[in-house]
Amino acid sequence: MKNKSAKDQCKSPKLLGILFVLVALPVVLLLARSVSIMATQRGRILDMSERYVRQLSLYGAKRYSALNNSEFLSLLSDRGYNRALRDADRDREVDRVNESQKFIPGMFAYLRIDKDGRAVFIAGSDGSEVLSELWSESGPVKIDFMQVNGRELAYSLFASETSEPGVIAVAAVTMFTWTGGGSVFGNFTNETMLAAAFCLVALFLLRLLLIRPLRSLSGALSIFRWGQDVPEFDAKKIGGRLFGLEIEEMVSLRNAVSELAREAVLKTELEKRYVSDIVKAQENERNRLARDIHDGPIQVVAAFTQRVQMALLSKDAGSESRKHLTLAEEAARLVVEDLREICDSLVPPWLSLGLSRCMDEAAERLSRQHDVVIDVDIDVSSEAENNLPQDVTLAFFRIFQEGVSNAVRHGGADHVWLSVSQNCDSPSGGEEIVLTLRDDGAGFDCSSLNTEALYSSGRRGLAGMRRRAESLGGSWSIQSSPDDGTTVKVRVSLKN
Amino acid sequence: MQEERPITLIVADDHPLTRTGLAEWVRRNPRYELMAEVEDGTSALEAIEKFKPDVALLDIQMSNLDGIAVVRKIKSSAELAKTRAIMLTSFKAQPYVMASLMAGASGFILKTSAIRELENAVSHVMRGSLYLDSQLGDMLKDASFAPEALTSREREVLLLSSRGFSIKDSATKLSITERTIQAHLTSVYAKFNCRSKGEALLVALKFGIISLEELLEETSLESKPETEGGASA
Repeated sequence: MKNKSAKDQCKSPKLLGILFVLVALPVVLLLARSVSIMATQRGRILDMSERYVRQLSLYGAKRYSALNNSEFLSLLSDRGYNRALRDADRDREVDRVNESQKFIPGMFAYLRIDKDGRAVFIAGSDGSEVLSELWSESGPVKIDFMQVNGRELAYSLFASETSEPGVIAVAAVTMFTWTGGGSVFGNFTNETMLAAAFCLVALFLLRLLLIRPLRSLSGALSIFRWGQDVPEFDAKKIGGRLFGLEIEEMVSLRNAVSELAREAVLKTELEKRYVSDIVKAQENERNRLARDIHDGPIQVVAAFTQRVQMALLSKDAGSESRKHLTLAEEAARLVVEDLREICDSLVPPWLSLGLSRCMDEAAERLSRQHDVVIDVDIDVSSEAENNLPQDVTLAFFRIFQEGVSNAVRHGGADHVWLSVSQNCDSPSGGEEIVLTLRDDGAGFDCSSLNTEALYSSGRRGLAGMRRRAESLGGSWSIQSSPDDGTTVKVRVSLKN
Repeated sequence: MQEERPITLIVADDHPLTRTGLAEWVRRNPRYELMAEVEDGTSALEAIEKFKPDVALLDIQMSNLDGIAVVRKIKSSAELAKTRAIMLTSFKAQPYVMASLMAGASGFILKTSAIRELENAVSHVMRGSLYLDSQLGDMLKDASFAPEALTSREREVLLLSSRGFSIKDSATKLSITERTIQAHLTSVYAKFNCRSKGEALLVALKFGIISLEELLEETSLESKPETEGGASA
């Protein structure tokens, strides 16, 4: 069952990864395509803008010599060139024309280059005065950007000489202005790129907030011991929190898992308490029964025996009555023996005499009962022995009983070693008592031992031992391999 | 003995039927004088303090203070230590015998054979020797059983382990290995034809191989200091 769930946990993050890639891949492709389109498109548009300004300036230069200056200029400033250009723009994209009215869709100017090499504006379209600044004393300035109406734009520019020496015709246009509909396409790629970038950020966040925490949650769950560990599935451990924000579903998933784990712990504890309550109730009942038998029937029969003995020992008993009295005494003795036997099997009456005496007596009885040699070694200080709760002594006694019975019945052991020792520095920190029961029996392969499964199949011995140890808050372990005997270890910590 | 003053006794037993039976039997015996008949541990202790009897017949299972605790109290008091305790019980269990003897009791009889055993037990303990109920015979094999002699080492190991020394502590004390201790014990069990420490000690006590004084004296003197030291080390 554990293997299956581990496999499931492996599968889902992989699938999640594939889904992630399925979403991320088109976005990345789109982004790459947009970048390449933009690059080629930009090149083409630039090329076209350059051709346009070249044509415009050559045309202007030709017209300069052909036209009467003033005529041309009035044409230009009045309703001529600008208007024509504007109309053209309107055809392409009506809205943009109005908006871009402030900066002319391309500029045209005639400039006169004086002796100092400076450019003087003769005439031109609105705002084209700025073109004169492109000339300094040393000639045309190489310039890529120009400030027009507070906006810095990239311009394509071309100057041609007119028939009149010193006068040049300059045409300039921004790529943006020139392309018109093309610029829409340019913006479109920009927006696509932006959208793709957003998508990528969102995917990254998704990974950070959902996929990674899911993975670490499943990782944490795969090593989690249900019913034993108290969960720590908070955002600190699992991740998935960014600037205090978390995915709600992730939070509820985490909480649900924590709740389940906490319930499992509670359930295990309840179960342990339940078992220990049953054990306690059972022992109490046995105890009461044994005490009742001891205080009632045994005492009465003992009193009866005393009277019979008195009669037997009195001088005036005849031989006939002596015979009957002897038989009566014998019968009474047998009754007491039987009752004692019942009491002893219910609860060892010598529990109150301490662990070592109790275990010695148990060893004595068990070795007789099972015909096995038992070595007992109790290495516990008398102080610890005096402080040892009777539950522990009783539990050890029962575990001993069960262990010896198992060793003989299942392992065919001839020799059993019991040792009880004190361990001052236990793994849990405090002092603990360790019971070790070893035998020379056949042993078995305990690698796949499941005491609970054995318990439910009716073989309660091992599970019973284990539950008894656990009901004391202790631990139980078994070690065995074929032909190598079996060792059972119980550790119980001593609370001071 | 007959000319001397009667032997004084008290009977402490919390069950009225067995107590009155026993008390009646004591009263009937002209050599005994019954000083008190009580039903619990504290009254037993009071009676012993008051009458300082020669012998106290103490039931082990009593309310307030059990018989073994009473023995421990009287043996720890110089004034009362002269009273010999004979334990009464309805349980034929070695730990009780052991615990009684370790506490300082001089005799141990079963309630079911108390009437038969009483006179024998009292005269034994009055002579200063140990008395164990003959019904414990099946714990000590049959009457013809004679234990093989122990080597001095075996005897020493048995004595130490009877005083409550663990194998490890015995090994430390005698400067031999734990394995050797175990071998000695196994050999003792074989010689006595018994299976446990308690049984072996009873055999040893019964046959005078170990004396009660030896067992108690040294136990009280040393009171297992090595055990405690060894266990906490």
